[in-house]
Amino acid sequence: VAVSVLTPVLAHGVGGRSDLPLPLWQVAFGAGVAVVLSFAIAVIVVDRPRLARLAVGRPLPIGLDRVLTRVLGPVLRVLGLGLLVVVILSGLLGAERSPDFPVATNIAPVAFYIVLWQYGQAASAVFGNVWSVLSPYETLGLLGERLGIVRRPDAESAPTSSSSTAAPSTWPAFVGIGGFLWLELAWYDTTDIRMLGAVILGYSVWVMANVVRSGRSWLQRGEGFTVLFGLLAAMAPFFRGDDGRLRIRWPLTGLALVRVPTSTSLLILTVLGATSFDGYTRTEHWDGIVGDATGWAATGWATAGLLVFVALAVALFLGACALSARLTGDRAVAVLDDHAPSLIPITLGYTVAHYFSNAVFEGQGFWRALSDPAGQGWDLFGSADHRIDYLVVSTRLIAWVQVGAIVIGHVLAVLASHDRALERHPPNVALRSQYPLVAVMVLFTVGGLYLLSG
Amino acid sequence: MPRPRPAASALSLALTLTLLLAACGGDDEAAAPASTGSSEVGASTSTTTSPEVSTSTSTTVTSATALPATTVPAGPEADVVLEVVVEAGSVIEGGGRESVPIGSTVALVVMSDVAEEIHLHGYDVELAVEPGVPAVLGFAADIPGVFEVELHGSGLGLWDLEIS
Repeated sequence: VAVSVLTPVLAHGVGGRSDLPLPLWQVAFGAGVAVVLSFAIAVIVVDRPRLARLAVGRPLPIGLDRVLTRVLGPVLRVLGLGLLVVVILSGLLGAERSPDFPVATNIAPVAFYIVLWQYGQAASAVFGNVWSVLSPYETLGLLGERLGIVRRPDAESAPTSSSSTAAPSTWPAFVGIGGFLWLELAWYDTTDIRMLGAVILGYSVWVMANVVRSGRSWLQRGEGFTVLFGLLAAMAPFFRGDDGRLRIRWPLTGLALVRVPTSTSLLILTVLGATSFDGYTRTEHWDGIVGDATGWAATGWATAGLLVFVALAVALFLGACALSARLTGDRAVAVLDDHAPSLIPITLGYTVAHYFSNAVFEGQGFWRALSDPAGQGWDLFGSADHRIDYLVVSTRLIAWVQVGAIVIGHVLAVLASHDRALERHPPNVALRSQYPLVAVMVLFTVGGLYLLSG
Repeated sequence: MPRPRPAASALSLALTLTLLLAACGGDDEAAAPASTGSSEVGASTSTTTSPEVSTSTSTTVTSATALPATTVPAGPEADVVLEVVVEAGSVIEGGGRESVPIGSTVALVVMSDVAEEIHLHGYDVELAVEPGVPAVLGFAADIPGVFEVELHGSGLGLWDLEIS
């Protein structure tokens, strides 16, 4: 009986390979650095708010702005919309794989779980709000406006900049991202291409129906990826000013301008809890709980686990906010909405720590799948028989990226949180109000590192 | 912050070596499990590994037991032999988390009461299992990481192989 070579199956949504556990000394090292730097920031570095002033940045050269806006923008719009169509068609009508290229898989799983979720978050944090041009829903909305199907934004309801005071609630976005995470982490057959095709088509129809009804600005409060990627983009060095010009600023500083409703605060904590849960499911402890459960039983366990981790993240942070509020006389929910954006660097750090290797390895499957997206035996770009190179980054580099991402995310979060507290309160009150928040951030960071050692 | 790297590197190396030595010492428990079905095992021994495995084998497998890159010893002659018994959709013996030293040859011996397929993720090799006959999946452990081995039909997880 010959061993047949098989396609990569993306179990857990994102690959059957997990990272080696971090050695305990590396966890202790990362945790120690995080704690020491937290104190240093509190005591030495921050005495007055600076980020909002730095967030103004400076304009990019007009020539570069024009090239990016008029050339790259439209190209990305075509790619984003094209990819959505290819993924839906490949999922609904295509084959899992073609016998001609036994290693290649249908494009739908890798596009959804790796490219959209992992590359989307990373690209937003590095390049800014690329989703505003890559999003097929923005592009379709614009087309709809030209054709008169979608209401054009009128002057008073035009989307105001991120510094507006009353942020509208984002519950539809919360539900969308929650649904995505459940599908990725709890559903037992995450890579079923027919299911993915149907889900992505259904989601797209629902989003566009809302855009037709309420205008393109609905995306900013209803479309989950727009909301999440927009938050990450606030950390990026590139952004568009109120006058439409592309500008550059120090990374992180843009977070100082972000105001979020409670629904978005919970969205951030949900992503944090879910990413932790994904890390937890790679540990022996979880294997011991789930045992031999498969199918719906496995989905039940994973759903419960996911809910527990999200509830834990919300409870811990909300508890810290309540303590902080008692010290300053604010309302706990007001503190939550004030400081949840500060958690975005921690969320990003978790995402990098958990998905870096996956993005590098399984991401290679995307370039392969582009050659034969629907398993038809095509080889459009000559890459259909590429085999994933698991040696392209070493396990030691992966381990340091994991620790580095979590520690850097933690430090940036503490900085952003202090800055915001200093905007609200005089320095001595601000410092006291920060103790519970920094304590829970340390807990998240040490917990995140600990999960990576399992 | 990346200041203490040299010390950390040395420590990490020392730890890795210790782990490797420890792992090498404890893997010879099950040397003869496949003997009952040795003729069937012999038939399934002529396994060819994937191109991915064979290309990287040349650099990592240097021990005397290494065979030519296209074949991998299965059964008792492998460096690491792991067994699992599956009945009524559950693992009743073996399985779970196992440490495998990188560069070793591994034989996964699977006994199932129903026809199944074993799938080793990442390395992406699979093998059909006949009911009641031990099937042996041999491979060279030359990609580091934690890899799942599961039954494809039911989705039942057999092992998490920690290869380092």
